[in-house]
Amino acid sequence: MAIVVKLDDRLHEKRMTLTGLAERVDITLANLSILKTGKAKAIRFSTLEAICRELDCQPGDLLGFTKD
Amino acid sequence: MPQPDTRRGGHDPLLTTVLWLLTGLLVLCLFLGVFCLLAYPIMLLNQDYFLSEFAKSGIDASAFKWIGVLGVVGAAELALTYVFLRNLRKIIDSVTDGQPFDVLNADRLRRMAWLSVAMQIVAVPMTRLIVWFDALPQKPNVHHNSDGISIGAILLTLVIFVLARVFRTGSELQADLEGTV
Repeated sequence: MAIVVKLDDRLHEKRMTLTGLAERVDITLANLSILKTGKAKAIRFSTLEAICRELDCQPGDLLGFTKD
Repeated sequence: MPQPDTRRGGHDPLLTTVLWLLTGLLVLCLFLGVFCLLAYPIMLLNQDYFLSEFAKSGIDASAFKWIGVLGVVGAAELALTYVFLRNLRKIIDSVTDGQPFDVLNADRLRRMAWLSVAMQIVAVPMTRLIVWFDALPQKPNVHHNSDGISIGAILLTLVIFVLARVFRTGSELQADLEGTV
């Protein structure tokens, strides 16, 4: 069972780069990269809120749950 | 009151002072350890002289061999102290580097707690021997009750065991924090 981060899909839909998002949400590119590659252990509500605001989406659009 | 800067590259006068003090104590431990190990063999080379001095002072010749035992026990105590201080120094180094909540420090503290237990165990025969030597030649009015067991040392050991747990939990929290975006 795993939480899947679908940030890449959402960025593709919005035609936005990770660098562009990093500038808009004021989070380091390194941290966003950790989130995108699924290496993050946790995500702050403030980070989630900022990403949702900039990508105009719901938390569920960014995160998914899969059974291995 | 301003707090000392202990972040990476920070300069804390207290830590600097303790580091200097620890360096001095480490050198002292090495020096005394070598002395403890070499004293008895050197005395053996001049055994006749020392035995005659013992006889003049009214000390039984059997006390001579116990000097060797005291040397070995003393060297063991100093070796344990040396390793204890080395671990403490590494912990202080990690604090200076701004990374105190590391699982390595939890392991070091646990090691230090066990070293402290070993030091107290070794201190018992060592203190007994020192007290025995101190009472030579037999002085009927001198009574020593020291057995080498110290309540303070036992409390210190318990505190170090607790601190090891605190640091282990701290290192887990730190790892979680580092993975949080």
